[in-house]
Amino acid sequence: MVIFRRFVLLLIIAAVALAGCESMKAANPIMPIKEYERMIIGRLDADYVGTQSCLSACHFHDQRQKDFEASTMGAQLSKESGLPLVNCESCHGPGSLAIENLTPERVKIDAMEGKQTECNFKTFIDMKNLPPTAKSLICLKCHTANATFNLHDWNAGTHNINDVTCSDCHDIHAGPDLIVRPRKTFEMCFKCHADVEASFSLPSHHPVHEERVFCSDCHNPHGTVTDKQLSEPTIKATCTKCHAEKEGPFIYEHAENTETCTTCHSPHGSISNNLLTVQQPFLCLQCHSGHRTGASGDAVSRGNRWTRCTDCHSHIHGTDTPGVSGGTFVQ
Amino acid sequence: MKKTFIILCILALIPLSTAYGDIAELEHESLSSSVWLGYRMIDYIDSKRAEEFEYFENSVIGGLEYRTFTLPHRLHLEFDLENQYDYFGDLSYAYQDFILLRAIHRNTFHNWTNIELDPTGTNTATVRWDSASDIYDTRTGITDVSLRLKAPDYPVHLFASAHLVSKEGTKQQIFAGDQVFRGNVDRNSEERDIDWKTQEYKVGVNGHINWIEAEYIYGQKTFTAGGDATMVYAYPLPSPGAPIRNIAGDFPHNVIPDTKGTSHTVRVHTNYTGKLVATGSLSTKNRESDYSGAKADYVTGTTAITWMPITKLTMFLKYKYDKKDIENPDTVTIADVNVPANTYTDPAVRDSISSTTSRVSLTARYRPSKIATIRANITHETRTREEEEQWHIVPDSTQMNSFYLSADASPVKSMKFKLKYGHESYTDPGYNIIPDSSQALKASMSWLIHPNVSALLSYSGKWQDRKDLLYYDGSVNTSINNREVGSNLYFGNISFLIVNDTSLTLSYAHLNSEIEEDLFFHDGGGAPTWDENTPYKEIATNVAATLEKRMTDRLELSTGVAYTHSQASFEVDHANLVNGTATVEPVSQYSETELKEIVYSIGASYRIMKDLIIDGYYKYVDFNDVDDNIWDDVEDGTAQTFFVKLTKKWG
Repeated sequence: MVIFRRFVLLLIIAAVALAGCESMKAANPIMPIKEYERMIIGRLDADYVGTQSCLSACHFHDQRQKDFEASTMGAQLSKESGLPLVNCESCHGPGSLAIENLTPERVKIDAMEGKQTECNFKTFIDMKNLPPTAKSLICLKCHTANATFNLHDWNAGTHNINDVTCSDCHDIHAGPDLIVRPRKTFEMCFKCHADVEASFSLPSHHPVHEERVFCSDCHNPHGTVTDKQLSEPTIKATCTKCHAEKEGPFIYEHAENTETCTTCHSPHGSISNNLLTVQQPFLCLQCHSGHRTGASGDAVSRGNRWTRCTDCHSHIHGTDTPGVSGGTFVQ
Repeated sequence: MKKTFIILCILALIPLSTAYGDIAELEHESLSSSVWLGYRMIDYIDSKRAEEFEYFENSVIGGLEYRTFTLPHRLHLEFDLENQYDYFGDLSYAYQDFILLRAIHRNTFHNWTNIELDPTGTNTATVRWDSASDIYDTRTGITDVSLRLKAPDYPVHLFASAHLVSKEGTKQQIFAGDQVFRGNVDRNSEERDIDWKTQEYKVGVNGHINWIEAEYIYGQKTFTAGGDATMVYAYPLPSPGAPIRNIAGDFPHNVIPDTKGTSHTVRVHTNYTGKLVATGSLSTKNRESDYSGAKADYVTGTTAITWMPITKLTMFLKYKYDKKDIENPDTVTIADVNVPANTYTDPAVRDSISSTTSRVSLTARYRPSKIATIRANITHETRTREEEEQWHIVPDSTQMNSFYLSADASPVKSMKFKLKYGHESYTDPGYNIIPDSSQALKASMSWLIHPNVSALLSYSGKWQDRKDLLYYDGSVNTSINNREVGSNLYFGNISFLIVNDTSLTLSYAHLNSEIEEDLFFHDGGGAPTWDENTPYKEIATNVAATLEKRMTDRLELSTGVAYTHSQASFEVDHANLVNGTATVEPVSQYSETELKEIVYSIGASYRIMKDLIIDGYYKYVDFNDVDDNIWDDVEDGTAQTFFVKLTKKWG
């Protein structure tokens, strides 16, 4: 505890002391990836011409400009936003070659004739064919400088390892959806995780299709310390964010199984009620011995105890009361 | 929580109203909004399970979306009301990059099945399912709020967040009463009022100094169980020889304890954009039960290093350390709620298992060409346990080694293949469901067959094998045969853009899985007995189709149908488990289920004027419990939903 407090104090003092030091604001990589940085600079023989020569100059981009202005990044076109300024060329590279020989008059005439005036877009950075790492680098070079919180585990996260890039989820040009709406997250995630979508059609499921539970409630797409990109360091910590009544600790724990909820539950969906991986009593009999059955054929005696296990062992996630024989979760 | 959200909305609007005074002076202004209002009708027959998460009362629906960039203020507000128990709100407010506020609230309704207790399966026991007509439902509210404050002209942030969960309503509490010791079994069901509150708050500081970014977070979490936190039952005197509760009395049972805890987290990482990136984090967390005094301490440490020696090759080295230390009381005494002097004691509570887990993995990603990527991973994990000897069959340590190989290829732009094979092996697996070895295969292909036709096919399979299953019944019993697990999931999806104004999507998913293992039980004399190679099977199929058509510039139609069929069962051979009577089913019947669900939907959207739209939607769900036994916890039901709403847009 003391170490933590000292660390925080140190962090604040260091931040304040260095606040005036311009050079420390920069966010420089330890070893720049020069090959990829070259790819995202754009043509060296082109000049920057400004946004007024791009979006607002061309009839072709009317709708795109409207959408873009509705986004946070679009707001950064304006100095009144008070945000770090960006414009089209921040990502696409300098645009002078693209609009070479184009005049406002030409755009106007084409528009009157119902034609779209195409610029020479091939002189921009070839976004579609960039390697995934370079594509993400376009975003990361600014977001690392701004100390973006949720990217702490991005580099070694599952999405980055599997070449998922920022633009696979964030549409920079599409208004408020630049930040994906929580209720619609599943539509985006299922584009790649289509097989997972099928789980949510099983009889018992978390209400993701119903827009009551969001993928981002349990998963952090920007990378975490777990393989499944769970939002918390462990499965139990993730589940008990909402199911805290099952977190404990209890006097009688269910061995260490409650640390791994997926021992008994399929969190996306399952055939069995309560998201159980398989039906009771088979679920429990995988690890536990069955009760006495009575003599062969004595089905009535067996019927005393062979039913759904949780009809008696109802506090199965852990209990604080011992009951008749202690720690059997019957009360 | 609702109040919190409204207060946040008002707070966010205060600076905005100030900004409106200067609106004429600002160059950049962007505003869009929409408001909708309508009516929803909903009904069901038989069981509410057909729409598990719907509140079955007709209601006015409405909402709004409001977004304004009156720079330097930015505000986005969305609110959607389905009914009094089901609504959603999302508020974002930012002032330059100094203040960033986000608040999301949702309220959800949940219908619970009233599980029928087996009325006939007992000889001398009592079954009190005396609440057969009761309806159980809960309302869950989840609020997430985050606030970030940034220092002017320097990337240092102070931040705070809150995660609040409330659950209110009634649930079915099933419990065993009477003796539950060498004799009768008394199965009970009672209504339980719940009023559970979870409150988790975090505050922290974050900033970077050149190539290092550091962050500290302090967290505090409490869980409070209101309503019937403690239930009480008049327990009779048990059979002679009961080891713990050997007296009668009004004792508590199924207690939901209040808990609390704090956490500290430090995270440090280098700049993301280099060939060499390192991250590290250390967090501690404690939890304590107010009811029992049981305590749990957790430590998690992680580090990851990414190294790109050449652009074609990247290496990812990750290490994770988890330590869990649970301390439960050595003894526990339970007092009669009416006569406190009447107590019973467990003098030797079994210690909970504490453990330490270390996991290290190395992944290499190699791009031999622009069209292909290969990945390889090896992982080693060791878990060591304390106090495990009291649990008899839990080993003091378990090791896991795994590797996977995967390849992505896109030979042509319109086609992409993915293939992944993984293998895991365990030494001294902890529990019977942990295999000795496991193999997994995933394959998928996405193909843009034609500019108007796209398809996705995928397969994933998993196979596990385990010998020497262990069961404890006073001594350790070992299975004769291996446990084998196999599962296959097939998925296919194809979308057609038939003409410019019509699209059709068809999808198919099929899951089948089988577990086969020896089940252990006791015969009437108490002798250990096996049912050998007992198979458990599950099959589920889902077929869905959606059609969307733009009839005119003003009218759009969409319709869909989805069908799901699922089954589960297991088969036993041993006479003691197979034989039934007129009143007692074979054991396998308890795991038997077969369900069919079909969902039809149709929707229309008509633009009356440029910014005025009317929407109508109808959905019919038929949930069919084909097997219709009482142990699968589901019941037949149909539900219909219809709504109509009018939306006005501005901007």
